[in-house]
Amino acid sequence: MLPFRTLNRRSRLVIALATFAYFLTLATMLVLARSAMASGPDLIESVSARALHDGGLFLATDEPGRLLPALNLSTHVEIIINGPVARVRVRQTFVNPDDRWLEGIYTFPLPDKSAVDRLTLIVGEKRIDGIIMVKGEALIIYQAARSAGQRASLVSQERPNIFTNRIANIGPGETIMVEIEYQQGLRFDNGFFSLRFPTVIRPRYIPGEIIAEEMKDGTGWSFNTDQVPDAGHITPPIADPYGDKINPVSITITLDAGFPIGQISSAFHDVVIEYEGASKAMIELDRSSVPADRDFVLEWRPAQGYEPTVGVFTETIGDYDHHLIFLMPPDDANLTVRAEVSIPREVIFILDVSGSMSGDAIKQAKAALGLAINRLTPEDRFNVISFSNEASMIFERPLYATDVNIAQATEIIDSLIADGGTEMAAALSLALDSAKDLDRIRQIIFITDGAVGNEAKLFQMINAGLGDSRLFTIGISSTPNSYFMSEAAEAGRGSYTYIGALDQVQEKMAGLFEKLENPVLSDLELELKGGIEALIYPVIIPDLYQGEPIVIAVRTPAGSVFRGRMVGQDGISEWSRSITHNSTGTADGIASIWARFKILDINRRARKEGSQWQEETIAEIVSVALAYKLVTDHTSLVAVDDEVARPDGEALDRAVVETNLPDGMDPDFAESAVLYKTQQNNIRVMTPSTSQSNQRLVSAPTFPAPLPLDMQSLQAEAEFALPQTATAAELRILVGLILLLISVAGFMWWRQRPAQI
Amino acid sequence: MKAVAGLKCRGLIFPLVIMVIALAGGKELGHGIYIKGKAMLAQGMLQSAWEKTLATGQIHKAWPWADSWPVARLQVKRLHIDLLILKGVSGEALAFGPGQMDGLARPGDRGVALLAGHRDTHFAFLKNLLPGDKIQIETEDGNSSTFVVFNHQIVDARRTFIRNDRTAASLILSTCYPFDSLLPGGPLRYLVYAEKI
Repeated sequence: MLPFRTLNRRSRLVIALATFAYFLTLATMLVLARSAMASGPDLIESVSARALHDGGLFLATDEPGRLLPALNLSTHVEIIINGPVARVRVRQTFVNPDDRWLEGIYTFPLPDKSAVDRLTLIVGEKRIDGIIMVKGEALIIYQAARSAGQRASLVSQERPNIFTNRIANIGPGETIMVEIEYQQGLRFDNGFFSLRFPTVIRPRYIPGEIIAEEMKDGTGWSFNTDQVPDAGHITPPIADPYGDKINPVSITITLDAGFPIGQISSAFHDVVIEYEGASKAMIELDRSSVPADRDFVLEWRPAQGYEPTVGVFTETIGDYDHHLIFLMPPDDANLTVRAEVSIPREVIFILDVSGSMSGDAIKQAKAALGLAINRLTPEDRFNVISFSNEASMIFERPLYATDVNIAQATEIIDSLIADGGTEMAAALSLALDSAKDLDRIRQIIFITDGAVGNEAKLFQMINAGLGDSRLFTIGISSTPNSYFMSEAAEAGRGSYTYIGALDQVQEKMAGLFEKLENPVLSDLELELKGGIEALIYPVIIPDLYQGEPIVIAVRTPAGSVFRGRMVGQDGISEWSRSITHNSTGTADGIASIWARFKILDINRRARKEGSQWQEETIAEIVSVALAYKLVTDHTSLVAVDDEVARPDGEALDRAVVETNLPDGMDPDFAESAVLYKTQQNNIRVMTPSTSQSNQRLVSAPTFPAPLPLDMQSLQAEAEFALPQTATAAELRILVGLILLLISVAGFMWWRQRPAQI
Repeated sequence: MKAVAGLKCRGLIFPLVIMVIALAGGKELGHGIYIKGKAMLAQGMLQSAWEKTLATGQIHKAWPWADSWPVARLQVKRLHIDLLILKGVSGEALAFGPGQMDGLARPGDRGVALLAGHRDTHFAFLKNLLPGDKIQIETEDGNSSTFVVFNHQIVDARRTFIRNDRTAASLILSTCYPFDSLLPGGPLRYLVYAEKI
């Protein structure tokens, strides 16, 4: 190259400029690239919602045990029972053991007919009441508070028995409590009142094809599918089934039965009972807390001779009286006159043998089924449909219940193994389609844990295909999907029962046989005297089976005298019974229950008409829900603290609360089916640190799986580094173009320079 | 004298400098285009080799001196992606197509299969893959598997290793990150995780 000095000023200037441009370009790119890379670590932290399935990927870190943020949850439940209603306060305590600010998301179960009407956010000494809002608006308020760094809680409904609580801005080491209250009508059946408080959501089977666009919606283990578009909202992640149980629950109950109590029992928990007089008792768990892995079920029976017959409970709010009417058909109804007139039946049993039934549940189901089949008379016909990934019938068509046929069916049933999916629709359509025969009573008995996410579609199938059949559900396991059991039975114009342990099979099935083998009280109607303007729910009162009371909710203008009679057909003659104001008591929360009955009725009607998502339906539900402050599909409760807690510049991580594997469920099921996917929420996303010295592998807990022992298994121990996968093509093209531009510019300038100086 | 020499120099040196700059620019541009072109053209040339492989069940190289040969075909219908995958993840192979890492599982078999490709050419589409997208992979033996995308993650390659976990037939697509960085050689990788359905 020529010495720089020998060049004249202009040439020097040009070269200097060109060189400067070249280096400037390079430097700019370097800075750009650096800054892009520097943003990497932040990105890693933010990809926490759904990181990699760890089936194949292990992330290393300098900090062993620094995991995806977790919240510790404990729940205290206070239940106050007053006659046929209960007021329940659920206090969820979230403790943030992390040094990061967290948003907690907890998807939890409640009873399927609970009317959630109060939310309180408790921060230290402060109690902030929630307000009821249209779901979308409540979400916006919550999100605004979350961004602003304010503490907030949003409770929304995913299913009538599944809710989600989001809690924003829980500081490092901080404790935040959220109280959720609901009102609930109690069930009376076969001489027992019962109250069910679920503590864990049995993992739902999600049928259908994955929808790509809406994937990121929800924090559950499941993807959203065409059949369950909100699957991500009803499938909370499940903790390692081989690890310690988490989420302790404590429960206290104040029972004021309203009649002398004969017996109190708890189905799945040991309790301490302290009587306070004949009709009152305090009930507590016998230990301070139990893991949230099964329903709490309390049953109490009236003392002999004190069986309730009729009750009207009233609460006045504003311009209205709200009544809950409870009426036990007395024996003068011809409901127990079965005798020789009994009509032969065709009974179709549906047995769920899906993977979620593995473990205790399938044993309970088989025992119940065996008992029911052996109860049939030789004039009855029967068939059994079993289903998991698909449905099949054990006989081509229903056969007479002869000893030979029963023996053959029993043998086949014994050999069934619980494994695979829960394609209920296939089984239902088999059971409903073959409804042809018809001088017989046709009954479908559905034995399942109800662990599916497409409830509404199944209810619609039942509504559409039921014909003259009647469908009964038997909810198996200690964590059945109660919403499925009661609504499927309602759509099927039958009844439902629960079996959560082998020792309950005899007793519960005996109650069911009473219903199956006796005529019903039908065409029920409430006739009110004096032209009172009354809104009665359910609008169509369902047929009444043996052992059940009529329960309806009525709203009348305040102060009107409530007199009337209930009429119905008992199969032989008309039956009626008068109801007067004298039989009343007052009880808090009846208004909420009335509103819940009304919303349930709107939903049922809309389901039959296929108008669930029409504006009028939604508007109708929203107006009731806002007036009575109820959480529904379309309304949520939101509470926001004024104080800004999270300082500017502090990031907010999300912690999805894990739940236990339900009691009695086979942990191996975890590996093979649903739970395998839950590991997506178990991902440990690490913050890369600047020190490279201390690398080690950290693995998320994996469910043990039998590995095929083949040649390649040796390689399973090896770890593979990720290859370099970028070229400098674009950089080179850019640099090339800039240099060419400079040279063209230089050339133009050179051509047009003055001829002489 | 000096003045004359100066004049002479000016007449010669300036165009020379411009020419040098132009040449350097041309070389850079050419090289860049060559990389892109090679990536694009190679896929066309690999196509016939792949068809022969499928037909005969034997390995066929696209050109006699090639270091690698096609072992699989990857398709993402939604994004109109159709790529031939080469054996190995050496720089030579990756210039022509995405590579399948040796020693890990074959796509569709139980275990983890890792495919790596350049972020600025073949695997630029990874940033557009969404959870739920379906990836189809046909292997040399003619078997076709469908994988569904679960999610993606950005990891630091210095601290992230892949282990051939055999609990499922899974697939990881790997490329460099950030996608629009101009300089190669960064430590970050963009991984897309998919599982066979």
